[in-house]
Amino acid sequence: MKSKNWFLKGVNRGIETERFPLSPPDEVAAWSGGIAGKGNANCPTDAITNNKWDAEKCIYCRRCFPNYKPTGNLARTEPKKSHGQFKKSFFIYPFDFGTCGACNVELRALSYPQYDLNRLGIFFTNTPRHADAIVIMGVFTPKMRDAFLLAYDAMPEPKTVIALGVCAITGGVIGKNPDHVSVIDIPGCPPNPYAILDALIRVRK
Amino acid sequence: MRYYRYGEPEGRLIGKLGNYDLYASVISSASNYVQPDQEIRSRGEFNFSYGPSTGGLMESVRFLISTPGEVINNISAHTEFKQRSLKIIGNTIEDAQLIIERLNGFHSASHAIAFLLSIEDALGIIPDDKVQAKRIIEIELERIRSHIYVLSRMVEPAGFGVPLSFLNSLEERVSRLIGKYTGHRFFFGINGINSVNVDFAGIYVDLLPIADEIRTVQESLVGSAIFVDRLQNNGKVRSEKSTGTVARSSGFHFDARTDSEALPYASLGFMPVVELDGDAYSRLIQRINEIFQSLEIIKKMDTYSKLDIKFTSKDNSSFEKDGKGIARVESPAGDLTYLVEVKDGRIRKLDILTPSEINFPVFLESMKGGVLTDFHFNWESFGIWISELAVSIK
Ligand code: SF4
Ligand code: SF4
Repeated sequence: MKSKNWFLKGVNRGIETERFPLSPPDEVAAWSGGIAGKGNANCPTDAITNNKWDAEKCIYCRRCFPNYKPTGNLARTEPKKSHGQFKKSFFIYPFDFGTCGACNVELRALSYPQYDLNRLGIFFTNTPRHADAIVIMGVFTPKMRDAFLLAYDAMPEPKTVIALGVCAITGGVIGKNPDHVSVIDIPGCPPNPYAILDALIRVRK
Repeated sequence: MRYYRYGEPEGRLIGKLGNYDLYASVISSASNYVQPDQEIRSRGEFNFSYGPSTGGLMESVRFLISTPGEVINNISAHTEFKQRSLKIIGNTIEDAQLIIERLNGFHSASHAIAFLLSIEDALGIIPDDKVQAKRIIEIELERIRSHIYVLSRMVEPAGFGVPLSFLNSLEERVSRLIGKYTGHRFFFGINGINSVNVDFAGIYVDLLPIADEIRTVQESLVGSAIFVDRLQNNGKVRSEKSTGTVARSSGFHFDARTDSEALPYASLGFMPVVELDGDAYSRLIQRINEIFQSLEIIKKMDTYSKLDIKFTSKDNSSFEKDGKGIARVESPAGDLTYLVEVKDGRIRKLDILTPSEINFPVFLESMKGGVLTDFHFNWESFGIWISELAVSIK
């Protein structure tokens, strides 16, 4: 019998939330994680020099294939500082400098049942006044500069900046990255939701 | 140019593409297209500024709303905050494509395919049937995900938790399927001139459980009087200057899948479905119906792409190096057109007309006379991306 009640429908569906980071990611698209190999890369962003891959520059165009291949690991960079004070609750404010839209969508995905960032004490906030971290996305655009400074000023102390996606980290193939000092860079074009979650967890350790 | 000819205005006027007026199969330099007024002066009791950066909006944009407190007397917008200037002119086709894919990442397949079809048109390349079949699968997959996303954005302001989770979960499952088949959740890096580097065989079977769940969501959303009430008569519009789902939900049969020959939808006997009322509720129902249509198309194409069809195109070495080409496809948001000029294998000129550009003024018009509490429902129902609006090519 079909239930008309949303609550029962929700219950009937069972738990979809995964146990990441306690269990490994369920499904990661091959060209969104680590890359390794040897030889000529033909890389348009110089993400590969001397056979070394730099996650912060990679746009996952696959031109380096087959000399270089996905490793299956999440793309990661190390936090420059640890923010243990946000361990219990961590409020993040997304900030779109100049994106193509894909980074915005992948960040939003953290609230989807599969990831459910709230279970880890991480929350989106609609205002910088309640934010511990501002997550900047996209390339630098002059008209968003003032909006960024206003938002950053409105944040209570202690506060931090996170750069999400290659555009915000190095500019990728689209333009110049915003001028910022971030506590962690989350590489990818766009970063995989697991990689974003992983970075948000590590920054609070 | 295989899909277009220069000529006198004829048929449906789609919009302004560079220095031309774009019709269904004609481009004309005569300027009949008057850009609708986007800067409407306010005359209400106070002006309310929303954006450019706020948690309620996915992208950076500022709306200026003139209101005595509830009714929106007037609305204008500043879309230039996140304006990106993309360096494409003078690039090789391959380098240009890297940027085109990132013009609007959420509809990246549509952009890459429209661009490549216009390039092939310019260079006299006739794409292989199998490649065209895979391109159709890509665009329809993109449409399914995009429509689910818009539905979820429409449900979110209602605080309708369970259906929101259903839709979010479905969107994520489609993204994972795209990632599994193509290696990237936004189709980056798989398209090329007369090539799609993916094997989609079996994807229809993987999509079937998602189809069942969309039916469940549909039944329940339509059965919720409170939710339906927020959408009915909200943002009612019927404009010949609209495109995509917005046009089709107000009775127009506009659809590049039927009036553009760039992709072989005609061979599928595809006919667009339409709704009549032109309000946010019609746009919701229209998107649900279109998801089922896209699934049907993928079902047919899944079989088709498995067939071993021979390449019909010319050998790469005999391609022209120069030419002018134009191609229009139906992206999840509507008519998306690329007009390119290639010289010595490099991009000499590029004009793009995006569905967000076409529908944005229509949205502003539809919001006048509405109430503030309806703003988000209506805005989201249009499925507009600022990233394909606030962009220039250099
Ligand atoms: S995928 Fe592209 S950007 Fe990344 S390393 Fe390979 S060639 Fe460079
Ligand atoms: S990093 Fe890639 S996905 Fe993110 S905004 Fe830039 S181009 Fe888009």
